[in-house]
Amino acid sequence: MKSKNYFRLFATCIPVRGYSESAIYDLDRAKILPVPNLLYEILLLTPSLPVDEIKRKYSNEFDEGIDLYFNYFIQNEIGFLTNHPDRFPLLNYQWDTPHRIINAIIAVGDWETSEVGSVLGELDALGCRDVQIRHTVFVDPQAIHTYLSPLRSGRLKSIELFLKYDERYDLNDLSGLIKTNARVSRITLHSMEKSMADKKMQENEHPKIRYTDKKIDSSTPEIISSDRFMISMDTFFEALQYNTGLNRKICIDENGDIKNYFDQKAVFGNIRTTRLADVIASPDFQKKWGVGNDQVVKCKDCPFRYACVSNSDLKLNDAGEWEKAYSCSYDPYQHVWAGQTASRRQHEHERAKPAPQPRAA
Amino acid sequence: MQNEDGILLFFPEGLREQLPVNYYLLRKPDVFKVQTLTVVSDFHDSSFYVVGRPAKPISTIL
Repeated sequence: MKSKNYFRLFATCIPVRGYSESAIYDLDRAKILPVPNLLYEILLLTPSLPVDEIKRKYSNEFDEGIDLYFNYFIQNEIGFLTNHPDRFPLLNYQWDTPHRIINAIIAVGDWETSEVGSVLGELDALGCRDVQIRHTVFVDPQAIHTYLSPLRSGRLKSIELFLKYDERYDLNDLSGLIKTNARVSRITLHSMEKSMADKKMQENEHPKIRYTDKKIDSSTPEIISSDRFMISMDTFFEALQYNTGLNRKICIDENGDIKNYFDQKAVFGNIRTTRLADVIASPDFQKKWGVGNDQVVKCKDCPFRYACVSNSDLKLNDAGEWEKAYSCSYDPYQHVWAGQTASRRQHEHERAKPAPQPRAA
Repeated sequence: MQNEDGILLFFPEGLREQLPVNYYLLRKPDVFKVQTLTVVSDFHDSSFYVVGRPAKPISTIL
């Protein structure tokens, strides 16, 4: 049989260019593989040119490196050789969803149980997929049962609960909440003393219950780091067009004020006077949904821009470009996270095998 | 669809998430004769409705 002369990446392994380094997103295995920009350029040629022709295009200067990388990709199931590259089309990069709201965060202060139930009912009617509820004061588990019960036959897919630690919470009650309400994805008890939180975490045997000393409310800042990346087909394709943090998200703070995210000043109404359906239909509320990382200063040069789910507010700078109000500590121009030296710039993700130096011309 | 290079599989997106088959296995072309996988988005709520697992982080506060 004739040897196969084209190299193709698997359709779910997608190269993404960054300013100083590129990446291959392995969307099946939820991994990002950093690669040099030169290799990115080479990979773009693979659907249309045989490997030998690609090598010739670079005056055979990088033959050894190309062979090393392609063999590495084949061994690690990132790509394959074929004589028929046209038989392996790219994925459809379009993205849409039936959910009018994808996810929501409710910071519940001293609310009536019926108010929580009412908001959850509205979110369910909007097809909201995932909800995070941050209780900032003690709430009786029975009240949680009360507002969760109607959702058992609803469309909500997951509910994450943050409960302010109180000794009245009993592990059996919390386990019962999870057992009775399959949509509860996790319960976190927050605002504990650190020593107690550490001890509880060590002793903890329930996979869906965790403890933290951190105070959780609407002002809790986000942490942006590589271990918070979301590498999935859904997020990747959404990120090509939309802001994956803010798109179809709705947040309600302790006062009942409705926002895109908590750190934003703009308030679009209050749950006691405004229907969520009216808020999300507003063009002002939707304004930042479509500002994906490709449009944001610094982010557009980052190879991780399609895995980042930052909820940071966006503002227009003097040049009319979008900037994030909260910028992460990654520098795409040096390919380094703050706190790392250039020699330790390799991050948590696996790094592709380095190519040898090109032959001297 | 089968040819000399293997089998081209098409999965509807909703089904992909629910299948017990791990993509990891499907990515072993020498064993399973699967060269690539194409996902077809159907944009409908899946009838295989699994609950209790968020699709992506809602916020990264912890």
